[in-house]
Amino acid sequence: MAEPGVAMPNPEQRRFRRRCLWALVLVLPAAFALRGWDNVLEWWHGKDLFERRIAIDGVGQLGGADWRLISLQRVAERPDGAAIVLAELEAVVREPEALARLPCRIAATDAQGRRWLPSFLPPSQVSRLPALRNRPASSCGPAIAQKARSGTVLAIRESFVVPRDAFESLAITISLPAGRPHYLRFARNP
Amino acid sequence: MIRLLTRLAGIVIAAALLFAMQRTTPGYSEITGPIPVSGAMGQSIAARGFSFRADKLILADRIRWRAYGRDIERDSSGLWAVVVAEMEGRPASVTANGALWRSASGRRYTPSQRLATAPRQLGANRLEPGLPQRGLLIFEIPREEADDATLLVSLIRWPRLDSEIRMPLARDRTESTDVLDLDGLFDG
Repeated sequence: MAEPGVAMPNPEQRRFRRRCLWALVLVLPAAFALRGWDNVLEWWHGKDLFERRIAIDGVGQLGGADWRLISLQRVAERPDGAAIVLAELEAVVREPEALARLPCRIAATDAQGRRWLPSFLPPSQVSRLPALRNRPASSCGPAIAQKARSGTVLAIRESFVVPRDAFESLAITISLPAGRPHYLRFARNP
Repeated sequence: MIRLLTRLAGIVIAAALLFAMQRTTPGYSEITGPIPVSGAMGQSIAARGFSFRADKLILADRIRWRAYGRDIERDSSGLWAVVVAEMEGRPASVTANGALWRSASGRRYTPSQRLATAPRQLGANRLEPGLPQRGLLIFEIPREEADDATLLVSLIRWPRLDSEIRMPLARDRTESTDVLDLDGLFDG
């Protein structure tokens, strides 16, 4: 029984209401997707999700350059059990605009999943290493930010402070804004 | 009549529920605040990004150390609270400079800025995985704020959605002295 003063909806109104309710099933997820799209994109381009394994003497393409690991050497040892490791890399510029985007992330990783970021090595310490004396190189950020012309070869050098026992299984990873979510991993056993 | 009463009851219950929800909704800063990790002194505590162990707390009236070939001594109208601890970045290299001394009254003290040349201060250097660093967290606190304090340790001073170690400073691991030689803590 309808109460006095309360009109019952006619069948057409009922159908319209039902459709509106069903539409929510689509509209709500669509609204979430639209609002969150920028965040999803930012996350996608900010994360290192897909690894490109490269042999230690191989060449890998990433972020508008061809990358090569020239050498990975243990150059000094400290009494606290740490070793200072130098990684020398070479990047042949292919797309200057894409490559010049910062930040550049180079890291050393080991088999246990530990990850070391580059450490600043005082110039006095570098000059004491005969192998490096006449080979100018800069760290990744300044090297790629100079927007070198296509075909230029950039010499990049990073140093890491790692435990002595980690050196044997050390791999070098390179991640660039233009290349993410892909990143390169130079490993002895790819 | 019964239907009217039922509806009225429904409205009252709904209003009460909404009111309760409004009063108990945590604020944005609470939702996105630090994620507490509790632990005791002497235990190695794993937080997101680093691990931490505090071995002892030394309360001193004066501290001294040697730098640039001369002895330096600092006194205080309060107390020096020196926490001897070990930290390690895990699984990646990090810089952790978010240590705070929270007293029983709720006041928070940052590590002292008067000790630029003091040795082995944690928070100044980067922590590398596999290379635990043994060092000091040094606070200058009023005397009445020394008892029943809690040490808060995180990567940054006000962590958002990140770990914050909360460690009550135990009396049985606390020592007191007049003058503390910081260099002597690591000899041998």
